[in-house]
Amino acid sequence: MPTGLPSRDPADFDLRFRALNDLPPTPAATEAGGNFTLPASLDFEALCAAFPPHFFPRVSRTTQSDAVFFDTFEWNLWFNQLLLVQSDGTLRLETRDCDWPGILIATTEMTLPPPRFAADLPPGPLIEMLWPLTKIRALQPVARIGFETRTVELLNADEKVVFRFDVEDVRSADDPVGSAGRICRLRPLRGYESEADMARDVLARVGAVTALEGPLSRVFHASGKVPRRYTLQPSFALAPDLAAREAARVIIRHMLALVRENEPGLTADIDTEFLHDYRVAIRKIRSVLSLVKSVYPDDRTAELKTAFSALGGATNRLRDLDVYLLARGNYAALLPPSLRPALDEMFTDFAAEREGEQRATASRLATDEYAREISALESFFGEPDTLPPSANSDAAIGPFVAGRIYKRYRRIRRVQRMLGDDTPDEAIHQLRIHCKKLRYLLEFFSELFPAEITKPIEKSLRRLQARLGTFNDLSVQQKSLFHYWSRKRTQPGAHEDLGLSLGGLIAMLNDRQQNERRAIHDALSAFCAPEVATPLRSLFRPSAPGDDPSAP
Amino acid sequence: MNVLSCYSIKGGVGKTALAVNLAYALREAGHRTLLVDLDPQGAAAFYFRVAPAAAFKVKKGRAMADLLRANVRESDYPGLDILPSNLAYRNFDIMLNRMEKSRKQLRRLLANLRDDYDFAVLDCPPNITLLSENVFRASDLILVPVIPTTLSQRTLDQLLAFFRDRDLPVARIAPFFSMAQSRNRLHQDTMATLPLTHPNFFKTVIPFTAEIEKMGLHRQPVLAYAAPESRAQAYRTLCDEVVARFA
Repeated sequence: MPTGLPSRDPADFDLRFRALNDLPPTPAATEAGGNFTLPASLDFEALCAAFPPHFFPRVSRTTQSDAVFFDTFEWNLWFNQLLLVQSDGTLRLETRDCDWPGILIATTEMTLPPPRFAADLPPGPLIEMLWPLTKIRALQPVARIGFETRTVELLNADEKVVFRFDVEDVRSADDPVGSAGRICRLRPLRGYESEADMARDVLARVGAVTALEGPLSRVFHASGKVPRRYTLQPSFALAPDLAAREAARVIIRHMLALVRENEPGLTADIDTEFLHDYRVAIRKIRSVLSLVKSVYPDDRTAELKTAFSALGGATNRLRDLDVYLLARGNYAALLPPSLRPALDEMFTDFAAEREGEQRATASRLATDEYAREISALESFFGEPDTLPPSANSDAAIGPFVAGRIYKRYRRIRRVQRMLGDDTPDEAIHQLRIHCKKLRYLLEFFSELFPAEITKPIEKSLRRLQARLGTFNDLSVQQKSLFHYWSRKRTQPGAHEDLGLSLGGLIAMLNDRQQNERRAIHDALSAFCAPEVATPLRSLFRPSAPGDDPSAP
Repeated sequence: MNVLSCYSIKGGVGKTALAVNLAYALREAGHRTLLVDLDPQGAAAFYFRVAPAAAFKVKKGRAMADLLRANVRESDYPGLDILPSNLAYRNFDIMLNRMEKSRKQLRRLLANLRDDYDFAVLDCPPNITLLSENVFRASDLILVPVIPTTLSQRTLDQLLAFFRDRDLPVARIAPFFSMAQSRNRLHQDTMATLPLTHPNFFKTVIPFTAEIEKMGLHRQPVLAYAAPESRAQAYRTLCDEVVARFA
């Protein structure tokens, strides 16, 4: 029950009651309600005249409003059939059934633009719904619309309101001239169902249709932001007999497009995932060049590798800082409260350094040199090249890749046989690299092999990689904390507890890292067990007799 | 859901005007409200232009609850629903008589609507019957309009005696002065003395105004058309006092 002193301001009642109306509707109301689009040509007066004579339509209220829609770069909400919209001082999460408006799921009062990340929303159902869907991806405005709403009340002979509907004229803020459409939103009254049926019939007669292509799609087109599926694992439509060089080109061209797609968000510093994905795309390109060996003449391969290394390497420090800052809460949780202030100082340093790195990255991406370099790469991979053939340039990609996959798997098994409690970190690092390469091979060329066999293999591999990733992160973090300390200890003005805090942290991280070893061992054993090995062997082992059929 | 009954043994004391305007004011303060018209005259629903409900068929338990639900009508003011009266309520007493646990039957029926509303306001018929006793047992607060006269005082005492006699919760009786005239000496004296012996009295006094009398012409709660400076706004103050008792 709402509390607080009742207000006497009529405008206030209206607002509150709009919120009250927006409570999740009862099933009956949903059934009887609904949203329609009206023909643009339909005259408002003609609509009112279409009702039977003993019903009297009257416009009770006209309001003008605007709404801003939010989503992430990946359209996480849209593809989960959701819409996040801010209007009239409320932020609302609605279903996206056909278009907009949908059915309200959760709402909160908010006049200022919403926080960039769902995690910063006030506690309530909204954050609980949004956080799992968006995580560290920023919520960005994707469309702005303005709309004028006329509320029509239908009175009976007693002058009792028996039905209401809103007629909304929607306009895109990016295209103020063109009308994006006219929506009709039905608001039946409880206990007046037969009147609602009558009104629906009338509306259908004048051309109201269930909103299939509603105003929102049109607004998205006007704003140039059209929902599209985004993935770092696109499919490349490769055929097994395609020449290896052509296959590499197709993959790299797709990956380059992903690099380009992430540049604006990286420059504008929208969220940390733009850089992450930018780097993953580059890393994958580099992998293709080394995994699909010798598809280009050696000198050209070396050149390309250098170019992509440089692109990725320039952002190494920025990514490291992102990782530290994202883990800030985890770090703090590892230490007792008394040791946290010193850590705050370190994160302030990191945040300042990150700002500088980010600015430098944004400037670098804006240079002509960068533009020239990236467009040279784009045009090289855009069309089949005219370079002379090389050792593997014309090999059929299917058998070629199968051999590579098998070889990589055998290497991983070799590591498993020598893995123990005293295995040096370096060996585990090597294992991580092998796994990553195998993963990329399976991912890039997944279409060439039956999914029912490769999916379980990938799943087991992913599990192993997650462990290896954690192990590696913990190792890198210890090193860099120590590095930070050795730099900071000689400087005046460092927090007196810094050494203590960092020492504690490093000890905690090391402890965790050692615990990971056992988990890695188990995950690796699972990956080398017959459940994975047998199908993998049958699918990827080359049949040629020279290929040592007895191993592994 | 809090259940508020507007009740008086005596008719013509401003009971229905209270029910209608209290329901309206609660809705305005943001509370989802159901006005239940139990008075066979159907005046409360009339003020909201809601037609009488179709005749209830007497059935046991759950089915009766569904019938109640099916008869709920949304008023012109979103957030305020009406359960209109029906002449068949005259048989309501008979129906209750036939049911087991009849003295708590209404409470059980209203419990079905518990999640739909924050407040239910009951406009009760002016008499003491089995229905009244059901009302008393179903109510969290029983608002009793008292015209500040000796006769009304006697009626209030009769009600209190009835409660004590039946072991009903006396503390739920919440009287207030209704149709009070500031120039009437008797009214003034009663309003000064009666609350001394009945401490549960609301501070707010609903005055006698022509505006309230005109509700039948407007077919609207007086709060929907009264000017901000009107004395009829006292209903809003009364509503604040009522809500405060549930805080």
